[in-house]
Amino acid sequence: MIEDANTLESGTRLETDLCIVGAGAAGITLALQFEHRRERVLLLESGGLRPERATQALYEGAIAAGSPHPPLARYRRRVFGGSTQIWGGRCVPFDPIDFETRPWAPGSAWPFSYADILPFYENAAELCETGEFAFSAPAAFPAGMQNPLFPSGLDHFSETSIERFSCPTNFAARYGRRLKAARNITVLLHANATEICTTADGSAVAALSVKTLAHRHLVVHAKNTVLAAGGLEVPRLLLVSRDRHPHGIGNANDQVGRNYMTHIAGTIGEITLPAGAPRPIFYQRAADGAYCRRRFALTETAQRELQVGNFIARLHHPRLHDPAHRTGALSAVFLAKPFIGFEYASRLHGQTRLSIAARVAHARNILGDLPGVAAFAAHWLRHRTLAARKFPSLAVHPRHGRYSLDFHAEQAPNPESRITLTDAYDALGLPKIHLDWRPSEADFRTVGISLAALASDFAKSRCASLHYDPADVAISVVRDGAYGGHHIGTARISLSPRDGVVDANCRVHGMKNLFIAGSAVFPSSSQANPTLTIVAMTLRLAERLMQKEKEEVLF
Amino acid sequence: MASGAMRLPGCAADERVVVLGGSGFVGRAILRALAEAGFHPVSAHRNPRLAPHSMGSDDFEHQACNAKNPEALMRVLRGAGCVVNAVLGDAATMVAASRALAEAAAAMPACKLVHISSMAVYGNAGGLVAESAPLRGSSRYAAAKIACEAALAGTGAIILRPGLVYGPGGEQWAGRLFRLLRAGRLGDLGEHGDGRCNFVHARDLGAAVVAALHNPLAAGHAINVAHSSAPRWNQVLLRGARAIGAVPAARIPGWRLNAETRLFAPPLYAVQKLAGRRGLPEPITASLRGLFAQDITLDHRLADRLLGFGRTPPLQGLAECAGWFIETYGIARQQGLLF
Repeated sequence: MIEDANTLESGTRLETDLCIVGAGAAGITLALQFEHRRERVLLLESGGLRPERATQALYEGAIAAGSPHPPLARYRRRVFGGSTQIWGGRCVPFDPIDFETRPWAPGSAWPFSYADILPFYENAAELCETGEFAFSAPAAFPAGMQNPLFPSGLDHFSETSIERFSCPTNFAARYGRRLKAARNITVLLHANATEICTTADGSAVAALSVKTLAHRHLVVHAKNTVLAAGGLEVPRLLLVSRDRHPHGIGNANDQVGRNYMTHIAGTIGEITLPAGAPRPIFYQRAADGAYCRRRFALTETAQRELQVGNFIARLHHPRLHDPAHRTGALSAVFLAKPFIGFEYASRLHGQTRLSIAARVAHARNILGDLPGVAAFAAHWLRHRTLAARKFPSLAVHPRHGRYSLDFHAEQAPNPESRITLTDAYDALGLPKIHLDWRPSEADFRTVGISLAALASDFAKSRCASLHYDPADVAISVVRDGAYGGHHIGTARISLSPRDGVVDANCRVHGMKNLFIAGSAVFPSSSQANPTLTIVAMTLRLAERLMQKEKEEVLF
Repeated sequence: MASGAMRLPGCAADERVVVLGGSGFVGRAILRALAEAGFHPVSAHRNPRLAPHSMGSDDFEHQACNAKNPEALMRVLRGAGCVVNAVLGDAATMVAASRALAEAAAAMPACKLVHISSMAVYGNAGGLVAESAPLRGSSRYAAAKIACEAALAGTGAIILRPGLVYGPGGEQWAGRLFRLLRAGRLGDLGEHGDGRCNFVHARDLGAAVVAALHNPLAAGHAINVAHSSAPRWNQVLLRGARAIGAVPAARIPGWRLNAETRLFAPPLYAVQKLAGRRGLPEPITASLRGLFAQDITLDHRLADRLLGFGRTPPLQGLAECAGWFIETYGIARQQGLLF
C-alpha cells in the first residue's frame, strides 16, 4: 500500500520488520524482493508521487570553491522512484578486474570477487528492463552485430563489448502498482529519515526519527534498517546521527563521506573514417528489444600492462556548439538547448556561450539541411517521444563525416574527495552537505594513456583515425563538470572498519541491524554506469537479509 | 440435484472412460493421456461429424451424445467406470451439461467422475491461491464454471482447476498469442505484463486426470492444476516472441493497450461473434489484458500430494508450441532498427 506520512499524527510509532530509507532503484528493488513474504516492509520516501520544489530543495548543499561538480539538487530526484525518474538508462555490469586488488589502484579492491555478484546481474537486468544479461556482441547478437567500424584484433581494446539501455525504466511507474498491491509492504511518502537512534551500547538501530515538511514527527522501530538514499544522502544521515557515536554512525575511523567518486567522462578529438567506409551504426536492437551500442573497452590485459584504471570510449557526434559539422539536426538540437532539461542539456552542450556569427551559422545549417532535420524530428518523435522503450540518445551522423570520441573512465578512490557537513541547515533542521569532488592525477593518467592507446590501435588497424590534442585531456575531463548522477564510494565496503563503512554483506561495521544499499558502498567506480550494479548489489543484500532471518530469526 | 453418492476406489487400468467434450483441444489431450495409461477412452461429443477432423490421427471410439440430456448421458456412460467432463461451450451449455451429469451420476454411483473446471473461478484473486480460496469469478465464463462445480457438489467428483491449458495445437493459449506477437500487438507489456502465467500443458492436464482416476483419496476434492513456478507474463511473451522470430520484441506502451482493449476489441469481438474469425485480427479484450496483469499463482501443493503427476516447465512447453506454430503458420518477418 502507499500512504502519506502527512496523514499520520505526530508521535506515531511505526513497527516493522524491515525499514528501507529511500524509494529509488535500490529501495524499490529491495522492497520488491519481499513482496508476498511474511515480513512487514516499510519503504520511506522523502518525496511524493510527483516532484515537489520544497522537497527537492532538501538536496541543496555547498560545493567546494572552483569544483566543476554540478549543483547538488541536480541529477537526482527526491521523489517516489528517485533518480530513476530522470536517468538515461545505460546499463553495463562491472568487470571482473574492478573487484581485484590492483597495485596501481590502491584502495579499489572489493572484499569479494566478480563471481560473487554475477548471479544477481541477470535478475538486475530484468528489473532494469535492459533485456538479457548479455554484454558482448556475440552473446547478444548470435547472428552478428552490424557495425563495420569495429575490426577485431585491436591491441588494447575489445571490440565486442556492448552496453544495453533500459527503457529507461522509472521504477516508481514500473513497480509502483506491485508495491501498492503488496499487503506486507507500505510505501510511506513525504517521510524523511532525519536521525538514526541507536541502542544504549550503540551497536544497533533502536529507532529511526522521521519528519515531514508539514511538521509531523514519526518514530520507526524496525528489526532491520537499510539506507538506500543514494551516495550523497547516506553519508549525510550517518554523519548527523550522533546520539552515541560522536562522529556519526560507522565513522569511528573517519571513513564516512570519503572517497567520493563519479566517473571521469568527456568528449574529445576527432575521428575520421577511411574514404568509402560505410556509415557506422550507433544503436542496434537485440532480440529482446533492448537498444545496444558497441564501444571500445580497454581490455583487462591492457589495464594491467598500462597500469591504468578502467576505460571505455564510444563513437560520438561532434561537439554541437561548433557549426562546422554542417548538420541541421545537430544545430537544431543545439539551438533548442533552452527547452532541454538541465541534466541532458549540460552533457549535450556543456556551458558554451555562442557568438551571433555562430548562431547564424547554426541557422544556416538547419535551413540547408531541412530534410535531415525533418527525418531526425520524425525519428525522435516516433522512437523517443511516443515509444515506451525509448531511443537512448542523440545519434546523428555529421555531414562532414567527422565524429568525436566520448569516453567514460574509472575515477580512482581518493580519500580527499569527500562529503562533510556544513553549519547551514535545511528545512528539516538537518545540516547540509559540503561536497569536495577531486579527480586525481591517476584519473587524468588513465584517460591520457587510454586515449593514446586507442589512437595507436586505430592507426594500426586503419579502421579510423583519432586526432586529439593531449593537452586537451585534462580540459575535456572537467569541461562538462563531474559526471552527474553517479555518486559512488561514500560508505565503502571494506573488510576492516579502518578502511570503510560497511562489511562485505553491506552491514555497517559495528552495527547489528543497519545496512546500506546503493553505490555508496562501491569501493571502486569501474567504467560502468552504476545503476545495474546498484540493483544487483541490492538483490545480493536482499538474499543476505533473508539468510539473516533464517539464521538469527531476527524478523 | 444428485445425492451424495460414495465413489469407488481408483479405476482399473483397462477401464472404459468417457470424455465428454472429447473433440476439443483439452478433451483430445485427456483422451490421449488415458489411452497411454491403458484405459479405454471414449470420446463423447455433440456433433459426431466433427470427430474425424478434430480427432486428427488419434483413433478413439466416438459416441454422439448431447451432454445436456441426462438420459443420453446415461446411455453413453453405460459400462463406463469413469467419466471426465471437459465440455466447453457457452455458459448455459456448460452448466446444463454439469447438471445433467450430476443427475446421471446419481443413477450410476459406481462411475467415477472428474470435472475440468478452471482457475477462472478465483476471479481477480492475487498471490498464492489455494483451493480453499473463495470463488469470486464474475465473468460469464467464471460464473458458469462456478455453477458447474456447484452442480457437481456432493457427487464425489474430483474437480480439477487447471490454469491456462496450452500446448501444440492449442489455438487459445498458443496460436492466438503467437499471432499477436507476430503482429507486434503483444510483446513486452511492462507494468501491464507483471501478472503470473499459470500455464498448464495439455499433456500434463491429461496426466493429472489419469492420476486422479488412480487415486481414491482424490475423490471429492477440488485441486489446482498448475506448474510449481508461474513465470511472469512478460517473460512468457518475450520468450514466445523470440521463439517464433518476432524480434526485436515490441515494447507495448500503455496507451496502445488502452486503444486495443477499449477501441478495437469491442467491435472486433462483436463481429467475430456474429460472423466468425474470417481472417479478422484477434481482439485483445479487457479480460485478456487483466489476465496479463493478475499476480495470481495457483497453489499446487494439494496436486503434488494427491496427484503427483509430471509437469512441463512453462517455458519449455512454450518452445514446443513455437515449433508447432512455425510449422503451421511460418516464421515471423524479422525486423530491425539500426541508426
